[in-house]
Amino acid sequence: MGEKFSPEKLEALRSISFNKSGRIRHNQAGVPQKVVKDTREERVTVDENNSVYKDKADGTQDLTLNPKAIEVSMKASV
Amino acid sequence: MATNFTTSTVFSSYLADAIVSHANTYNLAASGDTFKLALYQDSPIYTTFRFDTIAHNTYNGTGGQWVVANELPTAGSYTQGGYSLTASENGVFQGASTNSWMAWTAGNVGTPATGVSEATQTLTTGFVGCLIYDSTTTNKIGICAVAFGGSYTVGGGTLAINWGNSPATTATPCIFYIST
Repeated sequence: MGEKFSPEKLEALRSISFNKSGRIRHNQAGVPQKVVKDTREERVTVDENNSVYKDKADGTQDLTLNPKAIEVSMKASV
Repeated sequence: MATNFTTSTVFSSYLADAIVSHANTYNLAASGDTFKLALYQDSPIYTTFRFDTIAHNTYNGTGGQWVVANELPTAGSYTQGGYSLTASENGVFQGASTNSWMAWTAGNVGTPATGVSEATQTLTTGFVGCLIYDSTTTNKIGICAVAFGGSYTVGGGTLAINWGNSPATTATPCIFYIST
């Protein structure tokens, strides 16, 4: 009888994406990027920094970065 | 994950000059100064550039963290010095009723989205953040550094950088905002 995967392991397997050469793509923290869209036209993945890679059918790849605004806090002192 | 260029910051050297000493003039408004965005590898050290001198926190400033050796090399579609942001789309925003904050952004505010968009980019060397500097000032003074949280490349498509939002009451896209 085969091994039963835990719900956590199944979820981890679902979140793994593959690049064009078939290897698993990880973000820089070593965590697989989450696939949010996967069609014949494009595959869209998001990493923990909310950065979005879009691999397109024409072989090109878009990158959208979404850095947070920097807060500068100025406290008045008397 | 970046180990040196880990955190975004507005340079204290810029704030001190703009607010206190006024040794240089900065025009952050629409059609004011021209700002540029240069991409860097994981070499500039946050704990050093955060409180570094204004002379060091300039683009390619001798002795500073923003020397060209730390920048993405001129290759593919990137040229050292970085991307020019559209001066007509700079913006300074302020809380309407309380004046409790101001925010600044530069670049393509309206289209697309709320930041930078450069088509047909091939960037094969990983970059982890950017320097935004005032290229109108004589010494190309740095305003702030933005860390992206990881190392990224672009494979022939569009590189877009969407700025985050200022205080949620107005949700104005900006690079930084000052709160009191």
